[in-house]
Amino acid sequence: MSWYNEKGEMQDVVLSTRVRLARNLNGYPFVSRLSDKQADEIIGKVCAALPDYSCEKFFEGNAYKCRSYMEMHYVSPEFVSGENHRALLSGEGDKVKIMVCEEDHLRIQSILPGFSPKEAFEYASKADDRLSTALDIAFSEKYGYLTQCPTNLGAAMRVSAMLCLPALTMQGAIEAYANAVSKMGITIRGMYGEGSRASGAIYQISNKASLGAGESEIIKLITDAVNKLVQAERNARKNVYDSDKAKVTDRVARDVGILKYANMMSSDEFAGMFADLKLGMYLGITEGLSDVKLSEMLVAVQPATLYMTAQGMESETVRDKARAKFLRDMMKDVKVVGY
Amino acid sequence: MLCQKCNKREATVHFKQVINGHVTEMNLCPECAEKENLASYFSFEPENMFSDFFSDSIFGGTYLGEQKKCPECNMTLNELARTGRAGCAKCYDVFADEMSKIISGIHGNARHVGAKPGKHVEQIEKRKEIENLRKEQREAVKVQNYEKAAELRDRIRELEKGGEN
Repeated sequence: MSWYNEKGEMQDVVLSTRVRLARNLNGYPFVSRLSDKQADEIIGKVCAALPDYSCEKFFEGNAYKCRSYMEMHYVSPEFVSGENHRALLSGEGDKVKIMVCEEDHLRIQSILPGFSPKEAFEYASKADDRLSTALDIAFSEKYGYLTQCPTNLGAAMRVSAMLCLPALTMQGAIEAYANAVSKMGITIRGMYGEGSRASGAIYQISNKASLGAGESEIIKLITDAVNKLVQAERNARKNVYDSDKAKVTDRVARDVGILKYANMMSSDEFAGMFADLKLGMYLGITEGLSDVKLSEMLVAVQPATLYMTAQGMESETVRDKARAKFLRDMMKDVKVVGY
Repeated sequence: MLCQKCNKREATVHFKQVINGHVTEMNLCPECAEKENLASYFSFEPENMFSDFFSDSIFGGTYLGEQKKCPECNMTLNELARTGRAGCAKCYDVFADEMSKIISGIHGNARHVGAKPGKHVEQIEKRKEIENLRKEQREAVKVQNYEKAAELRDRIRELEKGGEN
């Protein structure tokens, strides 16, 4: 089970939670100075240390698969665009994903549905402990885990949550909230993290630095911020609805109509509808949808993930048709009840 | 911290200028710092921008002549100044003084307080044990078994003494 097909806490707003630990090995240069031979050595050692994990190596020729993993948030855009030898390890029933030779030698991540930072931390920690026994992890008493970029020093931990905030986006309130949480040491970014735009009213919120903060402190910080944002979004959803029921219902109903009958659909068009469906479901305008179903739809319709499902998907037209068909099937039993 | 110009890359060049009490602060990534032509804030040649910049404001003018090098990954001080990134774990020792300046520019004077390699599960278990003991303690108080509650309190204190480390 993955974050996008399993139930989770506060899933009406929080799509997924990720805990990421950055680790490096003593005795090897950091990734930007690493040769492919050395990268292969590291990949070999990591795979040997976690024999129950599956290991996929990425060199050239499997770009779509790699992009699809990015769409599932298993790897970062940097991992996709990197030219050095890299690998992705998966374990604990797809709950732990380890990027090898991305920006750091190891990026141990646990991604769970909804909001569960403590559980995600426990999964990541378990893998981290196992790797620490088998490998010589670079660590200093003063700076904590040593990383290529000094901004990641300390616990070298980033806790992030993917939030769908359609109502706050409609109210134009995101920037104000971004400024407010920024003072708490938290950043809000677009869907795929650093430098990406917020498509489908989906935002990623994460802690900025971790030197001087312990793991539980970071988890608490994110938990406080997420709780505030979830509450604000839920209130905003009610306010948006109460201020113009007819308009909000119409918007959601039109999306349902299009999704049930369209013959072609781009991923951008769906991204906008995704936010409306999330809102419509929460407000009881629709019937037959669930948060898990929506997450599943969100991932399945992404271009590279769609490409991986069948042959002939190189053409955008074929993909747009396949996307529309998949969505028609998913929306078959969905009704609008809130007229 | 993100670069305040492109908002994409990490800011590793930190610039602060004070003229008659007016403070100008910039936190940029190396690329944007180059584009910004930080040199225009000083009166030196652009091609020497980073070396002069780092030697004056961050590295205390120590490296231009001697070119310190990391024996493990061959990273030079010059490169470190240009990229703001370490070449390997050893660089943190080899360039200890310079690194400490870069790091305090980002994190202030913070010290690591979190986990150590291989100790996560141990800590999580300890936290769980403390939680359980607290529950027992509350129950003991409820039935007015103060002797047991005090005993539990001492055990919790002892466990907590180890802290996150």
